[in-house]
Amino acid sequence: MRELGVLEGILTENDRAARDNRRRLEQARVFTMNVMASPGAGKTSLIARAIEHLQPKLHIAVIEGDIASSIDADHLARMGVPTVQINTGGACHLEAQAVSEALARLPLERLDLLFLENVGNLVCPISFDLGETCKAMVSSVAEGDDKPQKYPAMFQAVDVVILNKIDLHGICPFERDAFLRAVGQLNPSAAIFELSCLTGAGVEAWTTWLEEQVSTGPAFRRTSGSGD
Amino acid sequence: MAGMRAADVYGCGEFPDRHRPSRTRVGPRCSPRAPLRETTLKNVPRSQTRLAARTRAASERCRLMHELSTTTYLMELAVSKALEAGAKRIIRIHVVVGDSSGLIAHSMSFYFEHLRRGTMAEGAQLCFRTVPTRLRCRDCCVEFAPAGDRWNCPRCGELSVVRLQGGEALLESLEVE
Repeated sequence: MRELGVLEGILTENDRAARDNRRRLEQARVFTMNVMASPGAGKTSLIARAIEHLQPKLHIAVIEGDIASSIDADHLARMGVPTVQINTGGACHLEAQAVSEALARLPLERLDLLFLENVGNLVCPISFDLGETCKAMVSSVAEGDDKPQKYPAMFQAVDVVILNKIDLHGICPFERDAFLRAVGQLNPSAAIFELSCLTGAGVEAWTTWLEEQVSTGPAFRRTSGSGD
Repeated sequence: MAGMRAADVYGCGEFPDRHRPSRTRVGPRCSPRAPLRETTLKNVPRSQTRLAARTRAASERCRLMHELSTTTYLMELAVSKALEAGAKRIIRIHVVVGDSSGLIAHSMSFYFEHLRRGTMAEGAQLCFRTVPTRLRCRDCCVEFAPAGDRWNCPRCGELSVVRLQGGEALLESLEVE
């Protein structure tokens, strides 16, 4: 019997596929945003709002990750954007290899902005680098103000935090200042937007920022998956 | 991952060609459907590809958790490293898991029991070394272990913390023969 020292990340293979994705996307100059959130926080609505505001200025596509069904993909495809559905078959996150297969079906050379809508989950998606330019997280007023305390690793791993459903202020118990303070402390460099995809309040600030990111080139350069 | 497939393309290419000086031509609107990948294993002999089939079978029976994906990646890495070293059999797999990595050791062991069958790790043990989470408060410079899931600094009570350790997910070493 002998011992072999390895000391490699368990997700090395995923990270390798993510690096390939990143190279392809950078070559095609596509700004790619990995959108993460718990189920129902408003990932699809946020993407739909961005499409509404930024098309036809930007050429947008979506890779849509869901455990099952194509409800969200159908919704976005009706807006006229190329949409690839990945059904994860039960898995709670997207992985780089599946994204790579999806990229092969998109006209990357003609895209400016690609959304990767991850599976609704606040734990697993951060472990799996997909090759994105930027990680975004959607949290919503309806979920409560304690999300940063409960999922600190997620809040630390992202480049931008979007607080959705601000129209529910006053209806749901939510301490806005406590939420913003916790996010700011956990991740001082994260951009934060407060908006309502339902009413449209605050959406323009978010899409203006996004357009700037796309047109000025990636401000976020990720080299590894976990953020550790 | 097995079971995770890019399926359909909707509404492809409804926009005009964009002008970029570096491009001379624009590719097809939509690539033809790529052949689906039948196995998650690379550079591994066919005798070891049963692992992928097991992952698929497991995914059909239960909700695929984070740990099934992770344990499948772990097995692939372990088997490929053992084969590279010319080993016939894996006896033990030593992994390092941080306690805020999102990975649960007993879930990984559960999937490992299932995934190892029919592979060169059939009789192998999965051994864990857990790394406790350590945080540092940026304001107070205090280093501390969080109390449960609360990452607040014990001195100032705030969340201005950086994680020093606890997010690890590593294959540390293998015992093989």
